[in-house]
Amino acid sequence: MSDNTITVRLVGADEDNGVVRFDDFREFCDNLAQCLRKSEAVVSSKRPRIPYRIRSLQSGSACVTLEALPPPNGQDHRKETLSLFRGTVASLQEGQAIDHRLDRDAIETYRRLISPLRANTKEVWIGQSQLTTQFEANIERILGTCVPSEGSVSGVLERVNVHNKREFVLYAPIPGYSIRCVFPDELFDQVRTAIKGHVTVWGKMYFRQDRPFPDMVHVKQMELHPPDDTLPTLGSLRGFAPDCSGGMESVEYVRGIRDE
Amino acid sequence: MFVAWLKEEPDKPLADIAAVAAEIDANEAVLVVPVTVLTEMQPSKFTAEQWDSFQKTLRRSNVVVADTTPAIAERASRLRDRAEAEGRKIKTGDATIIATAVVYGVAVLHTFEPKHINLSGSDVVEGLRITQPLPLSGQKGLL
Repeated sequence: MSDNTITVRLVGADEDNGVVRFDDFREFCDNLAQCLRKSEAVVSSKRPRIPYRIRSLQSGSACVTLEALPPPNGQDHRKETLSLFRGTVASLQEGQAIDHRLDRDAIETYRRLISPLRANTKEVWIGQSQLTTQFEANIERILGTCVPSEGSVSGVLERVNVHNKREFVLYAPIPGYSIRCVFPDELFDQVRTAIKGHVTVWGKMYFRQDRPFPDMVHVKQMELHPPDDTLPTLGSLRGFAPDCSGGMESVEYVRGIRDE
Repeated sequence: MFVAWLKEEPDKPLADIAAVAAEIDANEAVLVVPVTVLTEMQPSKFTAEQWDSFQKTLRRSNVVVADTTPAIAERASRLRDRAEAEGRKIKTGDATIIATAVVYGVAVLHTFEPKHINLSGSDVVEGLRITQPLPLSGQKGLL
């Protein structure tokens, strides 16, 4: 089987003789598509572009093989995307560490792959991995270990969503990290004017263990930075503060402070 | 490195620092600055104008001012444990800076402190590369 395919299988309930309900199948396919798109976004740091087609489809237990096609233009991230997807599914089922670039939102999407089991489906398979209640328990464990702390984080403000909520996504300067930010109504005008701008937000941040950036921030305050071309460069700081160590040699100065 | 650059210390490899700064200014690299480093800069040793410029530089879009988060604090504690097990001592401030670099997954931590450079690539620092300033391109700076 080609590396560019994913096979999934749903087995219906005994009372349906193993035949899968259409609602379960439709919802599962939606969630599968979302997981693939989010996995691609993680590996490419760009808007997902890989198209998929059905390579085979069997009824009874519903078995589908999807084939990822080359994107119409730009870099081909099929191999990394499918590898991340397969690896994440297997790790979540087995309780192993997952790629730290997957944010809370992406993990929640993976969690929904198991939703047919709560309806009329008996088994969900992705490749060789059968997703069981352990899959969900492992996700709960990962998301449950989020540590809240007050602080600030900076990035480019995009993807404002005000449909029944107040949210935007902050893209950190290090590729692959996005931060969901929930903001209060009173910041709405400030958020609107800051779209595509570089901002710092302050508030309660929810970190997953070992991730440098929070998964989510409840924003209390926000500041829009001036454009880079109006800010001093690092190069321009050369020799500009000759007294900044009070006359001491730099290593001695820093060592002295850290020894205090 | 900040202090040496701000003072333009003649005994430091200024051309190499300039090459690093040029990569960052050209948006070819991201600079991660642990807040611990910022506490070492005292406003009283700057003029108001110098302090303002310094602060503004930190607001560039590819400069990350890294808070000491619970994850970084825990990583720093573990780092100190590992060092102690090897008969070394790493002070809290140093451990926090190294842990910040590890958690952020940086390509390299730049310092002039020899005892940290000696830890480069070791298990104590989880394999983190620690060197004197050198651009990511590997090209030495030219005077």
